[in-house]
Amino acid sequence: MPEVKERRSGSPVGPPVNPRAPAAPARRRLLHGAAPVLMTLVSRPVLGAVQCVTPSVFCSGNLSVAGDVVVCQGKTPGQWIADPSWPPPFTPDTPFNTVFGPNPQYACDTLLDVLLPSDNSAPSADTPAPVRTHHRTLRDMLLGKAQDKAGTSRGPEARGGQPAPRTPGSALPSNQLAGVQSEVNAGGVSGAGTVGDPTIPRFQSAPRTAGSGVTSNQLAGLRGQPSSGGVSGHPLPSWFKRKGQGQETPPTPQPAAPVPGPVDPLGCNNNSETPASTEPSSPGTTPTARGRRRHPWFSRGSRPQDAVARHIVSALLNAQAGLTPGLPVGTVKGMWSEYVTKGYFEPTAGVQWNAQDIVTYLVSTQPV
Amino acid sequence: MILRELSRQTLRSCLANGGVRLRTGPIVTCIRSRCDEVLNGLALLYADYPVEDEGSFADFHAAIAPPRSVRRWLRPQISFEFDGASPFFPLPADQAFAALEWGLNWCVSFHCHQYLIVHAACLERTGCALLLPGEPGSGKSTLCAGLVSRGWRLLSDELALLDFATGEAVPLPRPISLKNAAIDVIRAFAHDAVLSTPVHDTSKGSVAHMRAPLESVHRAGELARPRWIVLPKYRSDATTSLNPLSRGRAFMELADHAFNYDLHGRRGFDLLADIVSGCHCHTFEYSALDEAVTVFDTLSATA
Amino acid sequence: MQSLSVPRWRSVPRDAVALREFDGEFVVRNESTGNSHLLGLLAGRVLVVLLDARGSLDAAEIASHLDTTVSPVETGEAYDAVEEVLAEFCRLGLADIEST
Repeated sequence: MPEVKERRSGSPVGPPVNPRAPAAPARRRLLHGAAPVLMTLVSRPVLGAVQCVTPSVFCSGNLSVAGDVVVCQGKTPGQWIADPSWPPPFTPDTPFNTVFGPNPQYACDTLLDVLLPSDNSAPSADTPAPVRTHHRTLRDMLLGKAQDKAGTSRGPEARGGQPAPRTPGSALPSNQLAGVQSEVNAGGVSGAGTVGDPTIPRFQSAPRTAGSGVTSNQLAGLRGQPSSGGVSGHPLPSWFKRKGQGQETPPTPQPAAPVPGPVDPLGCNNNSETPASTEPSSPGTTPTARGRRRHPWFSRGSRPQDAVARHIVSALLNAQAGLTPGLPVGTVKGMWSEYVTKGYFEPTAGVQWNAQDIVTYLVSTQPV
Repeated sequence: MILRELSRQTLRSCLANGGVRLRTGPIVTCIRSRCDEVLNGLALLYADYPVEDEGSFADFHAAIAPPRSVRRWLRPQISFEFDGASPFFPLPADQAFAALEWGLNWCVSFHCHQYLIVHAACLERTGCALLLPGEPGSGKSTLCAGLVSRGWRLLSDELALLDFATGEAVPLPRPISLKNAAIDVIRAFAHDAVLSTPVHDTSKGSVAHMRAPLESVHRAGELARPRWIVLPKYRSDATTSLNPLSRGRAFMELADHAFNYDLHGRRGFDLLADIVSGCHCHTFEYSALDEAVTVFDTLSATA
Repeated sequence: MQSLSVPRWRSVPRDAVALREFDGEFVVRNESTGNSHLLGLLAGRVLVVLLDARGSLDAAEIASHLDTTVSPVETGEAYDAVEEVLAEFCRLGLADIEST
């Protein structure tokens, strides 16, 4: 099997051509040499296509996969909100708990309700990730994350023993990561970050001779821009951890509000402060929250899990639509279930993803 | 002017205010910081580097600064700043100089796309350049430090800059980063090497930086044509051996280790192919640094 | 006469491929995919044949281009080897079967 590497996978060099091969006649040498394709270096896509990986692969950063690169084409929550065609059996009116199991905090919510932004305003265009590559190069090369390959010795400079701490892939463009930040921070996750990863090439410099600096126009492009520039696919070096990976603060309990008159047990149909639209949105219009008024104890939108829930729903729809081969429906459901049960998701043993980590991963499956 | 010509007080003042415009090869970085660790690190490891005039052009504007939080005082931390923004989480304050070095690497590898940038050590002997691409833990930096202490000119310990116009390696001589056991190995191998005080508990373990030789700094304007591509691999019980590597495989290794190979597309392919076609290519295993140096000295005689 | 059932192959467009030979190995960059490949001697020669061809070729024709002394009767071995290469090329996006 020819060796296939995502560039900078750290995989060992492929097997050498047998030096003992006889000096056969040209034809035999031609036919009976090594495998036809000895090595393949899979390109990191500059624009558009995103390699679709499972959570554990995303976590490990090892994108050395044999065979074809599978591409993610997941849609963002905003795109699903505007999409009139949901993959059956899911519809905008499908109750959230029907899909993901009983959860009093979402008892009154449909899938669309959960997708909508927390203030039920018109959904802003989810910032697309025009460039999404998960690329370990800079992190691993410059920070000494030697691969723990069986039987592979590492140089004297390598740390011994402990596995490297793992964080979700961080190769998100700054605008996308900022979106993730603000979304999760709305739920009270600590870690005020403003700047994301530079993954989009800001410019392509003309060749210049040694001794000359970057041209002023290039530097002008850098100035005033947070962490800008860079080759697509360069994650943040992990010696510097990506901002926003702070401790998740628990949601502040909301005091119970007086509820007039008889109510259903979960308060889904209480009062009329917020009109409940029962008409399905027609394509091209801004959908409104179709949920009923929620019990004030379960005020949606101010909790970290709401950001997770929002992206979980879009991930569910993406999976059902076949847009994210690396993330099937079962995995999406399991991710949510584990998160609401434990407060985190373990993509692989020893690694725990909080709300922001989960959202970061899910956003990575939504390139356009 | 070189940095050592600045008094300590002047250096401190420059760092705290307009910044010190430090030239490292083709790159000028304006560095600002009030941290003693940065001051001490620059004074120790960059003493012989040119300093440009205040207000002159700088490729990058970097700073090491404490965060705007209680962590300025309580278990103090620092942040690497680039153009006024802090893209990264803070680090312990004692890692300030290491953070600056790592940040400068980041600046170059993310922005200097006028070159093809390969994650490799790059040295020169007899006018020819040696490229040592290697994974972390391959022993690349240890080997680089060993060779440098035995007369090889340092072009870079981490980032080989390959010029599209000439196919030559562009020097970017900066302190060599040593980690963990390599620190003691180099101390024992090169008694007159100048090393910073190691910082511990970094993401890499213990880290120290070795000052680049004076000649390497003085000759930072001299490019060198690659003549050897060697993939090093340290193995504790290895017999020192240099083995041939096909040019095809050497090409793939270089491409694999090039940060911006994809960005440059066909142009990057052609540059690497041109470079490889003019190089002797090998894999190299070693466990003893002195034996390794002997092998490379012999190799340099084949230029 | 051309058999309708035998697949005919085309490489990716000539200008989408950068190729260099080093001592019997070929490094190839396919701009259509952005991927780079290291090909052995046979695969490299097959690719060159396809790139130089003015139209599509079937495996037997490709094999015959590799060694002009190989007669159609003796091309069994060469044919199989070329087919294996072509299958790899198809998987990697370096060549595909011409649609009729």
